[in-house]
Amino acid sequence: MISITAPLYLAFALFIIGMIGVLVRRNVLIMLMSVELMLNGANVALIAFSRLWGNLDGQVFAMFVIAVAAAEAAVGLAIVVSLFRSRASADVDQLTVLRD
Amino acid sequence: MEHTLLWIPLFPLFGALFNLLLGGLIARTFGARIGKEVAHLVAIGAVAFSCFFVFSLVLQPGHGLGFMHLLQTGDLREIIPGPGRSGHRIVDQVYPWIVSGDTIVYFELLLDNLSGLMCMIITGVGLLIHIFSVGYMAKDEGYHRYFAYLNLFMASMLILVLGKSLVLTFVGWEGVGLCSYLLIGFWFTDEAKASAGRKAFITNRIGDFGVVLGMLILFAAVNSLDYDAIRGACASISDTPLLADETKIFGITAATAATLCIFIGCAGKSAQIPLYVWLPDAMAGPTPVSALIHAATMVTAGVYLCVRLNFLFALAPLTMAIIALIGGITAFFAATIAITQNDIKKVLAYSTVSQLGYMFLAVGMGAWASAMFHVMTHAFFKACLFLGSGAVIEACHHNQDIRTMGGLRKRMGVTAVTFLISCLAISGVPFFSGFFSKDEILLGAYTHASAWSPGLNYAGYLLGMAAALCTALYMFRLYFLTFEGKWRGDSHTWEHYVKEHWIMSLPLVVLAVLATFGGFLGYPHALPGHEQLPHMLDAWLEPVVEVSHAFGGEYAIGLRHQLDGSPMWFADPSGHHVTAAAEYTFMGISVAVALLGIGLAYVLYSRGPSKAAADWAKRFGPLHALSKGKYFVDELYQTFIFTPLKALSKVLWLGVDNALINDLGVHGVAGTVGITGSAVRSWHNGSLRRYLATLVFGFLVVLGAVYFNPRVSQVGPNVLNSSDPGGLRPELGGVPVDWGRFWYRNADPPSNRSRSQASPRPGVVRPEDPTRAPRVAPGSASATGAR
Amino acid sequence: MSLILQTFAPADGSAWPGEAPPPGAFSQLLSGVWEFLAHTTGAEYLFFFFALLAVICAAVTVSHRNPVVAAVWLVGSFSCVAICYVMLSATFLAALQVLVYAGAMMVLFVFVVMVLDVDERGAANQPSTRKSRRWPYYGAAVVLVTGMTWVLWGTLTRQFHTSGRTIGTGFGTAESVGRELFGPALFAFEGVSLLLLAAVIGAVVVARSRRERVKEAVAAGTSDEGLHVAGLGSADEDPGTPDLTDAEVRQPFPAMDFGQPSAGGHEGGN
Repeated sequence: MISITAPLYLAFALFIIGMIGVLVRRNVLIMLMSVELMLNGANVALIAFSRLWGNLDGQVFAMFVIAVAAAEAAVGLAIVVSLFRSRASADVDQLTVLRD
Repeated sequence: MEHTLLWIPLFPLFGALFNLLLGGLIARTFGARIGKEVAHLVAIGAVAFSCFFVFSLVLQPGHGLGFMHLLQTGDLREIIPGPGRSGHRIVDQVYPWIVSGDTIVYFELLLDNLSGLMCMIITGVGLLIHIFSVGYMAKDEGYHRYFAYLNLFMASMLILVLGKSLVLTFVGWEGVGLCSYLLIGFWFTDEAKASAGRKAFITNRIGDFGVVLGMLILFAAVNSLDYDAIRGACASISDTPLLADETKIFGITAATAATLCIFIGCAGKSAQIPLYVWLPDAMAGPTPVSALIHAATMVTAGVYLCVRLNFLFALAPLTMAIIALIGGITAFFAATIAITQNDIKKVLAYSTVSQLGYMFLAVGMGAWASAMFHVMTHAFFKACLFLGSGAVIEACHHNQDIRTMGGLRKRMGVTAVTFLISCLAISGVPFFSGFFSKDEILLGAYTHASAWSPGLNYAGYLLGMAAALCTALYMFRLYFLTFEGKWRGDSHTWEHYVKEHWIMSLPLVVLAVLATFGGFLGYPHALPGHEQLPHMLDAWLEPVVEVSHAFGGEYAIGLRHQLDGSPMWFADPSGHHVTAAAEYTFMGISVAVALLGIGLAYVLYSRGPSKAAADWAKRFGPLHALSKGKYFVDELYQTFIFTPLKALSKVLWLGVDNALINDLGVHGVAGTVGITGSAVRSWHNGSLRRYLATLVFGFLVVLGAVYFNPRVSQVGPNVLNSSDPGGLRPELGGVPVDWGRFWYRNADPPSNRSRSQASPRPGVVRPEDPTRAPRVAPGSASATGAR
Repeated sequence: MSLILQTFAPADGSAWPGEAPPPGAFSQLLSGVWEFLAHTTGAEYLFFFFALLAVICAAVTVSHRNPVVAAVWLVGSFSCVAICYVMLSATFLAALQVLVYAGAMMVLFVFVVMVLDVDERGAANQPSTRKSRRWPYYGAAVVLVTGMTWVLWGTLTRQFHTSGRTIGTGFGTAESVGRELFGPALFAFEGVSLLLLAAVIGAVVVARSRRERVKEAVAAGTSDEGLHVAGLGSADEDPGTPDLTDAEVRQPFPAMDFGQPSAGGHEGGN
């Protein structure tokens, strides 16, 4: 049996690494992957607590998070494709149209 | 029929809505002529329906308010209450209007003897004036608007009179104020007329402020504004909350404070000193409006309200004394102004102020029925006078200066005769209506008073008598200068005068008849034939005023007793009526004064403005100038109120509004936003990563705010254990961190720290809490087992 | 300082943590390592191993220059996390993780990366942001990550020294999760299916090429002005890309519909 602290450390590490990626990387694709990492960290925490309380709600919620992540990835990648067509760039620093 | 009473104001309201919303449309669709007919037919029809309703409700034998019964027996007290009615009242509870906590204000209409009388006056006179307006306004552009406003006024006035609580009455009160404003400024393209409307409105608002204050005081004391509730609270002097110590305001009783405040409103609405200044200016409106609103109905609303609340006013002898004094002074003061005015409508306007002063004199002396009696007769003869003046103005091509009139009797016979009848009535010539009512007021002023204000009755009587002399003088001056003598205007007008039209003459004749015979409703007790023709109004209004008449001691309103309690010399030993001898004496004095005034007017003005009149004016030079200049009250107000107010306003405008609110407030806020915006604009550069960083920063702030909340977690550098970053408080489920045994996997690591032994608070579930059974796991396990 | 500590001291008067001075940080750490080694079982070693692997893979994912390589490392990280799920009695979720994340989604990522050829045409050959413009981001990232680490470390990971509740054998299997999913969470489940449908449609709409849209709009009879309003005017008129003609935009990237594969991938995963 694993102490519940360990998966929380894992979740924490994944989340922080994902956050670093989102903050630091300029490539949109890698930023999207980092977001997936963050979601994964949240999932790990959910499952860890699900195990802690012996309650399946956490796992069900984690499943929903996976579904939402899938939807997010689909739309996000579609946007990336669309952006790349018009800008020929995956660098977020070039994508400043939000300003207008 | 349910909601019978609601129809009375609803008919004119619908008429007003019809004319406001559809009137113009119809006029455009069918042409002006048909449109105008539709407009006045709807308006007159609506008022006629209301009139019919009121009269049927009041007079219907067996089912009405008992008026027929009163006619037959002379005693109201024998009437058996009809089905669904208590006593002589019809109450129509339409719906709960304001529901706030325990306080419920119903939209409730009440038709009793007082409001029934008022409704009959309003709808009757109003109907006649509506009919007159058809002729007077025939060529006007705003025909539909005019009738819509007039109908709206009727609806508001009826709500005012029929309201069963002060709140509803106040709705009507404001409504008539609005309609008065709209109709005074009816020809709003003329700046002077529009500003006259504003003056009326603002002056009335000052008074209305008093009414609202009075209502608040009353509500604080009685916890209700329903007339029956107030009446109930006033019924017993010994334990009424209105006189109690705990409701006193600055040392005066709630009754006095409330009545004083309400009287301010009445003075505004009914044009008493010092708020009368709007009424003469209100003559800017169409003449039928002056007849309806500023003579017959609206301006008597103040009197109505005082009589309606007579039980309350009777509890406040100070207010009563003030009312009587102000009423008497106003009566005399306005009458002296009227003597020297040359505008036909201005004369009538000051006459109205003066007559209203009479009514308040009666109210202040506790002669409630006399006040209402005068309201009624005044409505008849003053409406007739105003309509007559309207006919004269119409005939003279809208010239209002009586110095350029004269001899009009030959041109407009009906108008002249009805005008003369009304002049006789207002002057108090015997057996015209004004004689009875004015005489009753003067008699009441002398004989009625509370023991609280000894001597006031003499002052009131003298003021009233002086005003009566002036009244006879100025009314007959007006009549002689207008209808007698020779024409003094230009010949063109004389040749091409506007002929009388039957639709304008008909209301005049009806009103003249009423002005002649209306007084017999209040036939005095002393005159012969009293047995056959009792004083109907006294008996009719007895249920309304019986409470205040029943008061004793210093609050005794009514027949004056000497200070030792014994009735004065002119009273019956029974104490109910003045002796016939006394009544005849007063009557004689009144008649003599009236005849004196008429004679004086005849001598001075029967052939136009005579040299004698000019001599008199010269002899009383300063007085004449004062009167002619209306005592320069407007100028006084200008100097002492408007100029300082303007200066203050300028300070407020430049200092507070411009500098503080506008520059510092509005522009300051806008400027700050602009500066901040341009400062942080560089942040909004579209850089996704910067947005994300900001997002994370905000998240960090929120998380940190929770984390650093000492109620949630223990934070900060632990001086004793520098590597301990803290954590949840133990009472919230946090387990102390044993850095050295960090990986220890058991729930309760062996520790010598005291905090690990901290007992969990109730309600805080620890993971190892055995009382909380796992919810899903056994279920799924058993499910698996079942498979 | 002591005043502040007093302020934050527990209200119930209990002692501040770590009242007794520790015997020494280093010896403490040593004893901690010893206890860790002494009390760790095989399953725990397994968990730690894969957790460490997942973290390393994640770090490489975030730090690698090439998106294709990063995506492959991400697959590795997800797989390791899936094994951790198994250790946490979430077998069904582990399978789902492998299928959806490591399988479908990563294939999608790699597919997009390959198709777009980001490494060659994208960020790499763009003039990179100047260093002076970049350091605030790094500084901000350092500050934020430090703060987040402190807070999360302090609150999340330090409180639950327990192996948790005893659970039955069926915990986390497809059956038990399914019962939960189609029982209490049915509405949410249906909501998620709607969300996926919306995502499919959204992806199709967003990713369609401009030429296709223009073609359809012209076929539908839209006027030139209408096209301009719809953002489909010629590229010359687009102020955002003044230097790119329509041909330039179109040429290197053949018009492809990315909606379908992604939709199919998600549907299959669920």
